Amino acid sequence: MIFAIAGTQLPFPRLMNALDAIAGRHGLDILAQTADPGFSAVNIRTEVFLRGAAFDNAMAQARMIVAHAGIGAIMTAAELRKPMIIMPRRADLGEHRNDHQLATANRFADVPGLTVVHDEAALEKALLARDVVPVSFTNQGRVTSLISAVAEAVG
Amino acid sequence: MLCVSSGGGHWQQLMALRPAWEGKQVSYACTAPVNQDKFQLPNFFQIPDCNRNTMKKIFSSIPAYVRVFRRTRPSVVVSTGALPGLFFIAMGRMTGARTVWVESIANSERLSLSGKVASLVADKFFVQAEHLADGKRRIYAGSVL
Repeated sequence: MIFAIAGTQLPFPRLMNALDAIAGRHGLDILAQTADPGFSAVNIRTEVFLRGAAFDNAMAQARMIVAHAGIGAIMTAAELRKPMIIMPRRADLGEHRNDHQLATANRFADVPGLTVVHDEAALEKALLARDVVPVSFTNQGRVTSLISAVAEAVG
Repeated sequence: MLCVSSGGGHWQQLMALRPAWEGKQVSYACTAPVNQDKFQLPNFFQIPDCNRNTMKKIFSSIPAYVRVFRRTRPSVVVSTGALPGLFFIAMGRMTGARTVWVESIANSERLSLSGKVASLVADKFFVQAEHLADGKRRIYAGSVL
């Protein structure tokens, strides 16, 4: 099962429509959290919001995560060591208030196991890829360093 | 101590930083409901959300923020953003609390709007991208990813 995440703030029809079309073409089993009560899909299962145990279950069962380039989704995939595809939201398409998701995608483009896609064609290719590996952020040093600095700031 | 954030990634970053205040008495406030089974938070307040596009919501949310602040009377306020967190940093500043802002790692190329304001108000301001540090108020000391 592939788990797709639009996040908790805004719908992401460009991603969801692409997933629906691709699932139809290839018979993929996709569960999508859409943040979009008005979205009706043909080939994928959808929930507007998934929280708590339901969200955790979906993440655990997924063999791959597809998401907007939201830090929450990325951190969760990293924590659970899942392969991940991210599609950044674009401000010029009204998908977010600014282009910080493009910046996020640029920042993490080289992380093993993380694939950045910008359109349906690239998304389809990534979904069908065979050689997927879990995301791997080698960040422990950076995290420890920030925690220490915040601890000192907090006093 | 009061730790405040918006939902989603902001909250997850706050949780990743939890070891920084281990052993202290802490209350938490978030704009989204939080999984209490997962996070085991002693004092949790859900607060209304707002952003720069929702002027009306900003004004109607402020009384709730003030209520939580008065209830918790923090001597330290930490926030990972976004706009709701900024209000708490401002209240902390006004009451002489120590205030710490950690700009979201989502803001890799430029600061968020609330971050820009927070950088002028908070006692300590951390960025999570090296090139956003300015050697003065904006400090790079690592990142959650």
